[in-house]
This record gives sequence, structure tokens and C-alpha cells, in this order.
Amino acid sequence: MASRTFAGSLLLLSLPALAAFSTPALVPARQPKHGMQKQVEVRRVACGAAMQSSSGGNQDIFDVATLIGASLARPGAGAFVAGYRAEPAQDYKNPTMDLPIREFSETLPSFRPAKPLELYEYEACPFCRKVREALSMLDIDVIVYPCPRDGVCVHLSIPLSLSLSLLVNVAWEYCTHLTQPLSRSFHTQARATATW
Amino acid sequence: VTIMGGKSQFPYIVDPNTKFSSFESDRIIRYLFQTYGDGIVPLPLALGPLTTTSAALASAFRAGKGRQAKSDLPPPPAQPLELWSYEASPFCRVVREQLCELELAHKVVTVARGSSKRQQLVEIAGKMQVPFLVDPNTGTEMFESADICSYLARTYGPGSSRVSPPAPAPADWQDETPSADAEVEDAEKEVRFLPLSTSPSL
Repeated sequence: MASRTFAGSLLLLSLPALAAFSTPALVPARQPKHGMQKQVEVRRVACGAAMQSSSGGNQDIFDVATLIGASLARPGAGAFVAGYRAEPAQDYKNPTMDLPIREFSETLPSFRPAKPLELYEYEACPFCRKVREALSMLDIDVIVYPCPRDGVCVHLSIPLSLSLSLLVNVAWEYCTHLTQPLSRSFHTQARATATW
Repeated sequence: VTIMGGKSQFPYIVDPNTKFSSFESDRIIRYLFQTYGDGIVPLPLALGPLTTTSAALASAFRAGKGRQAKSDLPPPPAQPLELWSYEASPFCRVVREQLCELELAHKVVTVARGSSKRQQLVEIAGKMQVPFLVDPNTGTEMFESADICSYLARTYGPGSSRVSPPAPAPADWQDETPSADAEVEDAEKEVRFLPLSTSPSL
């Protein structure tokens, strides 16, 4: 309950910021170059897109509000690399702003994983968000295989050896959580009831 | 593989470099910072239940978007898409929701503040703006979350054939198909490259 009121107040707070962000919704994605016929066709394409997508298309003001609210709920997490530092540097062109400021990470090693990591997740899951934030902070590229509810999850081609090690992993985690009930998170509880 | 079925068993991560794999988000985060960082989990991720609650609050704002797969999806494209984004950006989130609901595998190139890959994006795309989507299946590159979402729905959404965008429009007016003639494509690029002010560079 408390979190819901908090969410509502956040939403209200973020409303004034919307004017700046809502303009792109009014800008047509494509503009016809010449001829009435093409205009009509473009409009038809646009209509088709709108019919096909229930949540896609132009972002309306409510979408933008909730999106900003979602980002405000995790202030700053996943926005900066770990060990972020900015310092003035002459003759340096910052890719983000027009200022001679060099932004870099003090702590991240220069090497990155040779192969991108693979993450099976879905967007709305808070635990997945934590992991994605960590990946953003560590500046690691990842291949995401979305596994939403009721999806077919076509990506799940896990080799047998891996699935066996997986089972061991899960069993081990379950056992450690049994012995440490205090450290048991909501997530593992839910998983434990679902799996075992 | 059946243990992957339940909704509460995500995230699941595989690191092909070290053969690490885990379901447990806190364990994953610890592993990531130990392997690819300085070993110290930063404060926003180290608050235990508070971290999880605020992350859940973020999802609550979006009222279940990015949770449920769309029904009647065509078969997936051959190659994963590529999305340049970072976690905190609100406009990247809406694109990720769409990718998730359409079950499109995609490579996320993380460009948080301070990332050296920001310079790469400027070299590739001409400016630093996220989200930036690259679709190798159709040769598409685009900015703007609203455009990306409608493109995804049109190309990979329910009822589309995945091979070509919807039938009514003639070939040269289909959005960002490789067959579109160069002149039109240039014009479209110009339109898209206008400063539309969605650049969420915090």
C-alpha cells in the first residue's frame, strides 16, 4: 500500500518534466517527399503499424510519465559505469556533451569478456533488472533472450551438460538457503515453491 | 530444461567465457563484479531487500509491461538484433519491453555514462543517442524509441510475416527495407537524425 502511494506521488512529481519529452510523439517518423499518393500510402502504413501494435507506436504522455517514474525508482542505478569519474581534459571531445570533460571509470579493468554473456530474463522482473543494472555498470555486452510469461521461449537450446550443471546449481542454492533461512530472499522462496 | 519453465526462475545467466551460470540474481551480481569489476558491489545493488523493492517499484510503474508475451508471434528472425542502451534510460526501457514481449533475442551494447563505447556509437551512428537499434535482418539502423517500437511491431509483431513488412505499401516506401532506394533512405535518415530531443543522456 505504502509503495503504491509512493508510486503515485512519484508520478505526480515527474509530471512537470513531461512537456520536454512529449514532443517527439508529435513528430512524424517519416515525411513524404513528394506527391499526394505517397502521403496516402504513408498514412496507410502508419495506420497499419498502429493497429498491429497495442503498446508500440508513439509514446503517449502516460507512457513517458511511467517510464520516467520507473527510472526514478532506481535513481542513478545503471546510469554510470562503476568507478565513474569525470575530469576536465583539454582537447577532448566528449561524445555526450559539448564540454571538454573526460568521463571514464577508475575501477573497471581494461579487458572485457571475449564472448558476450547470455541472459535469459524478462523486462518486468525486478531481479532481472538488478542484473541488467550490474551489466550496465560493468560495461559488459550481453545477449538477452527474453522469456516472458506465456512465451514459447524458443531460445532455450541448452546443451545437456549445461542443464545438468544447472540442476546441481539449483540444488546447491536450495540447500544453502535451507540452512540459512534468514538470508532467504523472496525470489528463492517463490522459486523453491514453484520448483520443489 | 524443464526447470527453466517457471516464471520465477529468471534471471538466468550464462557466461561462456568462464562457464559460470546461475539463477540467483545476487550471486550473479557478486560474480560479475568479482570477475569483471573490482569485486565491490556498488551501493545501489547492495541494499538487499531495498534494492529488490525499488526494482519492483520500477516495474510497478510500468504496470506489467514486458511481462507477458504477445500471442500469435511469427517465427523469430535469423540474427539477434542489436540495441545500444543502458539500464537507467527511460526510453530504452520501452524498447526493451517491446523486444521482450515480441520475444526477440537481442544483443545489448551497454553505453552508460563513462563507457568508452559511447565514442564507438558516435562513429557508427553520427551522434550519441540511445536507444539505437541495429537490425541485421533488414539492414535497419534507427534512433527514437517511438519509431523503434512501431518498427518492431510492424516487422516482428503478431500477424507480420517477418520476411517483409506489411503488404499495402509499395516496396520503396516500406520503412527501412534494404531494397528502398538510396535517395528516399537518405531523406528518411535526415528526418530521423533531426534533434528530436528524446536523447536521454542524463
